[in-house]
Amino acid sequence: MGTFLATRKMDPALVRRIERSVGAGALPARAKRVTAHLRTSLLRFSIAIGVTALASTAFLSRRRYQHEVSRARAALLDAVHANSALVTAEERSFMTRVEPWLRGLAASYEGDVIADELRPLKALDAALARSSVYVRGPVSAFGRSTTIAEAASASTRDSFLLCLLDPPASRGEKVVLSKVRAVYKGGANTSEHARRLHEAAAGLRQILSPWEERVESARELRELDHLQGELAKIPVAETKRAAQAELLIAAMDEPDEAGPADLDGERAHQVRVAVIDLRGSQVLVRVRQRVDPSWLATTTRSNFASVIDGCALALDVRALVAR
Amino acid sequence: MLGSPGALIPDLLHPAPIQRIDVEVTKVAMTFAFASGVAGGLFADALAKATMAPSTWEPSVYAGDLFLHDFVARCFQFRIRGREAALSTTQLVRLLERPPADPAVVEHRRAITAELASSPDLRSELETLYLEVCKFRALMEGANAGRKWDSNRRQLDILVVAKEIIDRMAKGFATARSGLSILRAFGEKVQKGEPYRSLSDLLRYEEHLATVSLKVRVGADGRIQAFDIQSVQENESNPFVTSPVRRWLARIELFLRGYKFGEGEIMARLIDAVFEGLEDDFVCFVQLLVDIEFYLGALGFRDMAHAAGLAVCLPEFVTAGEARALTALFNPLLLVHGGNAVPCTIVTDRHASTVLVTGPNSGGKTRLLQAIGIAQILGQSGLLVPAQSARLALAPGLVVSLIQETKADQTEGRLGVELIRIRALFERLPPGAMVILDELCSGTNPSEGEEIFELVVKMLTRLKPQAFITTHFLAFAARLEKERKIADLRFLQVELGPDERPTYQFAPGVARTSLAGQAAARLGVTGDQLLSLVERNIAHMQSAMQNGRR
Repeated sequence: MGTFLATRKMDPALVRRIERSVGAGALPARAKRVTAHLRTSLLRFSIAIGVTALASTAFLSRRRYQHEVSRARAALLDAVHANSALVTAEERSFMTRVEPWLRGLAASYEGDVIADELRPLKALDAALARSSVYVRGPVSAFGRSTTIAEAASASTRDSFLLCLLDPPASRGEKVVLSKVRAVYKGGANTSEHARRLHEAAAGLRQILSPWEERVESARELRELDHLQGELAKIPVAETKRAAQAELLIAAMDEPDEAGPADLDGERAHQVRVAVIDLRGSQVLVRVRQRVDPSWLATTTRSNFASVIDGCALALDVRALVAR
Repeated sequence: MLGSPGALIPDLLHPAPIQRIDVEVTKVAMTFAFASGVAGGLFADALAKATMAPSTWEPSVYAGDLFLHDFVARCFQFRIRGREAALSTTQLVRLLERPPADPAVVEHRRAITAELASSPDLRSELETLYLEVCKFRALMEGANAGRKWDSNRRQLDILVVAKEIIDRMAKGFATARSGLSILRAFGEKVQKGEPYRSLSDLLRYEEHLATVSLKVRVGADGRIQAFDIQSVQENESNPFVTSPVRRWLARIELFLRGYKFGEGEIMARLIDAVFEGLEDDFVCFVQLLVDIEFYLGALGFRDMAHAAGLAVCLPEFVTAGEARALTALFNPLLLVHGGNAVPCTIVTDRHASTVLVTGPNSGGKTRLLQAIGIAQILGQSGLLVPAQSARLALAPGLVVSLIQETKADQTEGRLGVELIRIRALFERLPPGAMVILDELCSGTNPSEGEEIFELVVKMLTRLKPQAFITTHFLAFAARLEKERKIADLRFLQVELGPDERPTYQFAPGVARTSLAGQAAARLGVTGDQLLSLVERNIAHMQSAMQNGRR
């Protein structure tokens, strides 16, 4: 039966006429009408096929894309897991071990402490030769985790750290300045084992962020590409090195004293300095020392007051320990 | 054009049915009309190109002078249930202009006319059938095109009417014994065919797809509060009934085939298929319309005559050598124009004769000639003639010359035109034909005109015509009557009453006077009357001139 309009109960002659009427049968007398309908029919059929093909192509493309997304997501998750596996549990907890010390030092000052084991000659140098992280900032910045991270971010391996680890021969202005310049120019690498606290803080924050959730929630390849880029930028090695530090060296600047400031902002103020043995959970050094650039020559002060003060502070601390 | 062997055509005009219209062309036009609803003039176009039964008559030499179109338009009018029929006047005139040459065809029509005239039931059936065919025509030709309605509905209405026509043909003429019986035969033949069964099934399907039983709950305020469907029974015995799933598949199929996606399109395809099966039968309705008008028009003419106190009859046909007798013959054109048609009796001892009719002006000579001509046309067409009784002889032709209009491009004078008319008459006149001439040779002086008149009459006798000629050459006619040199020459004169006024009756003989003086007095053309007019005009002119000087 050539058409759904016909039924088995119909007379065959009627069926043939119905078939002709819908164009299912050929009838010379109605050829033109049938041809017109056939043309329309073919057009609609072509459109239907075209739409179906487009829909199929779109569906298959989407499906292929989803497959690629899934594959990329899986690869990224593997990378996340691999990254995560590189960092040990102890390393992960590094900041949780550091921050209480910093908050404690920033609180009301509890008095100077110098461990006896540092008293012998060269004992301080030996202690400072251990791996360490260093941070310096206003004392008010060390009260909370977020501000600690900001202070760590702003803190660099400055003249205090360099002079603490590798002190100049004397406290004379020219000697100190010469030392600082030489170190800043990369002429010495004796402080490489002392890393910025920021390296650990920022690195761990990136490593410990909810990568799996972010990757799982990503629906597009470009999101995954972005995440992959972020993941690749994580300085895992630097983070691990910082997080494996045995010592915490901190310098907390108390508020400036009244008086005019130098061009670089340096003014006389108290600085709390501490060296903490993180492994032994022990305060090796905790001192409070005043810095004052007034002793410097005017020409030097205008440009190097802070730098020289930092180095001078380091020499003062070393002197206190050695006393 | 003619019916194919074995095909049954509801032709009421011929004993051997003829398809007079172009079937293929009409079928194409009908298919288009059915599909589009716009085909004004479908019937008229098909009928205008229809062929006629063989005829030896030449309409151009008589139809105009007998006002045949006027006669049909006014005298063939008939009313059915208070409504006046819209006649196909042009087609009816074409039929009357060409009476069939075959006496069997004449007899066939006479039998139908007689049966209809004697059977009110059959006439009523034919009238109803006519109304239905008219309705079919109106629907088909888009007479309702101004209304916005569903195309399927219009086509179904056409099919409904077509079925009614077929059913009426099959059942309404069971008692017919004349040629009307072909309607029954045609209807029964169509009813037995598959297309008709499919038509019936489709119409039942359209009006009865299913039976739904409802339980209605009515509230205290009489309003329907709710109803539940108790059962749904589809009319499964109908071949057009299909399952809802199949109908959906059909809709999808139609859409893919280039049709609209809708339930209506399915019905449209089914209607189309059913219509195609019956197209050949529906085409027959076209000529049937005129056939019915032909007979109902004749009965309408009878009704009009009866209303005027006049009688019509089917004539008795005799040979040309036998006597002619027309009793109470009247001129139907007088009825049309509100005149007083005075019936008269015309008797001659034989048909094949030349009858010279004389009498006074306005004595009814020309009206008599018209009545004789119309009676001959109607009689030979198988219809009722305007007479109480009539005995006629079949004539192979008719030539009528009653009016001589002056034309703007006329190059000849009145005598020249007269001579050209005589020449044309002899060029076309077959032996035994009917010749009707009014005031032959009146366009020249009597002495010369009489010579030509005598020549014409002598020549006419050789063709043994049924001739009626009027003349005012009374002395000449009297001489011919007295001499009796010309064979088969007969004379009729207008009878005058006691007051010398015409009685519009005719008696043998030649009139003694044309009563021109009476006519002149009646029309104000006596010497005294003309003199008074002349003096009045002169007085008016003088008065106008005096006013102008002032």
